[in-house]
Amino acid sequence: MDLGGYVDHVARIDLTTGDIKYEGLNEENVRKYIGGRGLGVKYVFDNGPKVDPLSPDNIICFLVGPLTGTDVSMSGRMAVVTKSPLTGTVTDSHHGGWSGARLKWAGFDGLIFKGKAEQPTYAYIEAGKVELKDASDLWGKGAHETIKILQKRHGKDVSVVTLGQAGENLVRYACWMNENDRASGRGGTGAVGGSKNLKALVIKAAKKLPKPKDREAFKQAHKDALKAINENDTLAPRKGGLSVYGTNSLMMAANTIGALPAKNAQFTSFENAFNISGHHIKETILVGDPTCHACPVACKKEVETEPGKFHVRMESVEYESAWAFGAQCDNDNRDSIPFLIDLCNDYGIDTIDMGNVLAMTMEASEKELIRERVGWGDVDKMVELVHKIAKREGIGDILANGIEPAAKAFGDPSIAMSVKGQAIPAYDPRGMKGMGVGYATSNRGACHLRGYTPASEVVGVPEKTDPLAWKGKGKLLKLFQDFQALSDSLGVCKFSTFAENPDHYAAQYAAVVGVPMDANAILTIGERIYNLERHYNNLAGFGEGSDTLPARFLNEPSQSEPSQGHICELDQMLEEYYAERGWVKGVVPEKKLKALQII
Amino acid sequence: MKLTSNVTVVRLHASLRELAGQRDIEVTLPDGAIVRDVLNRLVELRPVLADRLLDEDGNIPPCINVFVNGRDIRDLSGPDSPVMPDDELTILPPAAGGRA
Ligand code: SF4
Repeated sequence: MDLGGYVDHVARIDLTTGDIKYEGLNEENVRKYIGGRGLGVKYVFDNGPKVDPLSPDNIICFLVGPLTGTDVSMSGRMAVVTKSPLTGTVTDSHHGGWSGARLKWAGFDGLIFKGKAEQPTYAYIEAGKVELKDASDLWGKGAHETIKILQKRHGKDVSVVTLGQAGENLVRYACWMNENDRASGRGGTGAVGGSKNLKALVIKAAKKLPKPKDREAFKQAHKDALKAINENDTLAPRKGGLSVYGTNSLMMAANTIGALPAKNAQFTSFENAFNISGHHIKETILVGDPTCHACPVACKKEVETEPGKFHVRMESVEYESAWAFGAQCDNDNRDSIPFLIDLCNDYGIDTIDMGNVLAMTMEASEKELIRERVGWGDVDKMVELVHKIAKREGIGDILANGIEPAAKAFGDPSIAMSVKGQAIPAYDPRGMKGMGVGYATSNRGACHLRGYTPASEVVGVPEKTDPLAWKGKGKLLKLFQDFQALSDSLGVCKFSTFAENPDHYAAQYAAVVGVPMDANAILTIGERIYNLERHYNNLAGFGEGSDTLPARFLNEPSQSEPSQGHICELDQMLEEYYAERGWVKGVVPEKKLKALQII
Repeated sequence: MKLTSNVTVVRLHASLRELAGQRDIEVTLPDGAIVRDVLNRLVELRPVLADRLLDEDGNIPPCINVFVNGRDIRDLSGPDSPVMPDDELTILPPAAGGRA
């Protein structure tokens, strides 16, 4: 295959037999789905939609895109793609740092694991080869300790992507941790690793930037994209909101507009939001601004909390996590939040699902659905429950199965703030309408990052839309979903879309890969990826009526200005969205599959 | 415009709050005031904010987000949005959010 940016080398690892086969990329698939998420979805699709996610038959793919590990700005992303044990949909989750770039430099576009190892195992990756090694001594250890041991064994300069105990214990929202604090957080990909006895990946590689196919074109494309980043109000290094305050710059804005779910989304604003905001954190406990491969933005916000029971030094306090353990649990104890995030990072658990599970348990306790007393904002109880969930002890064993099965077991499914089994992120669809249709139609369950409409509804990119208006949001969402499927497939950070447009992506792709591309053609690839995911989910049993929201957002009006009195007009937005997509009640018709050359 | 005792509270966040030395500043406004008037009055009261709230042409720079009772002025009439007595103005730096 003569395309730039790729290594044309993938490993298929059968953990049951220990066989490792190497193969090149299928050029047709690469042209149609690019790499990273898109290519991963194709591999998962070809493995069949009916597979049990936690069985040896499921596959888990670690993939990079053609731009990962290149000179392209913000190009450090790795995608983890599998069938989710939390939602039953196809899922993909992504992390930054350096492991994505190193996987490329180590001579791989991806690793595909299948089967189940007899013993705990880790994969050592170097110079185009994968070696399976015994991980018995690492099993039962947290992510931080595992990373420490593996770096001592293989050198400080390796990237370690690992499970904590939660993945081993098949917590359905367990994740993969990379380089201590970067999570491929959502969808329970860590439980799939645990079900295969696969504890970690160790990637060793010296920096070896792939050469773009067309160097002259690349210089210009790179310059244009970097200029857009440097001049952007959100991304500009040391000036933009994301660079200065991190993702948690959003806390005060979401709260101000009445779109911050609080107390398990019984409310749409949180009185003490400032205490847990990026602004307050910067003023008080911020100690560093780490970054990822080739990123001038440096949005990670490293903190060190005050000495005491919640003392911790960690990176990074993201908005979603701060909200999940903060407003959603009615908790304004600043230092408890980095502590809880770090605890989840060590256990390898998604903080968004965890915060929601705790909030749901608090509501269940208040309603006396359970015997356990879990008060709103009771930080000590929150810490205790995280331990119990990760270890599946007591009530933790029920909560580890996911928010929907747990709420059902407690006797009131309506208190689960989730879609398709995955808990909601930090945007209330009564105060930010685009996120309502976004959660409902996300192919991996409730998610803000499939189509980040807050870019338009809050930030004003590509143009400002009113968060309280539902009209036009179906159309806006489709554009975001198609565009952002490209970020995940090219291997660049999604935050680049605050500054870059489809022309920037097309120009950089064309220069690196050497295939002519324009904005329309690359958006069609994004659309194809989104439709393939949806087609997979349709075949897996998600049909008409699957795209919905918790009843709370549809029936209980917001009580806070300025969204006061609003509910989420989901049906109207779905109608607009399906028309835009050419879907019939959430199902991709054959005509559309053919038009997009999926079948 | 006739001056009355109409008072609007301006709520500042982040570096603006640090610069101004306090979070909430009360601004007395004439009837029929608009957002631009509030900002001009605020700059009179706290000249240190001048560079941050208004550019050379007296416009609100894009790195500042202004809300009237939680409504982004870009969804209203921009700097010409009316401000009523007892309204609350919030001023924030730009935002972005996510966890993968
Ligand atoms: S913006 Fe943040 S998450 Fe994205 S590449 Fe840069 S540092 Fe990493």
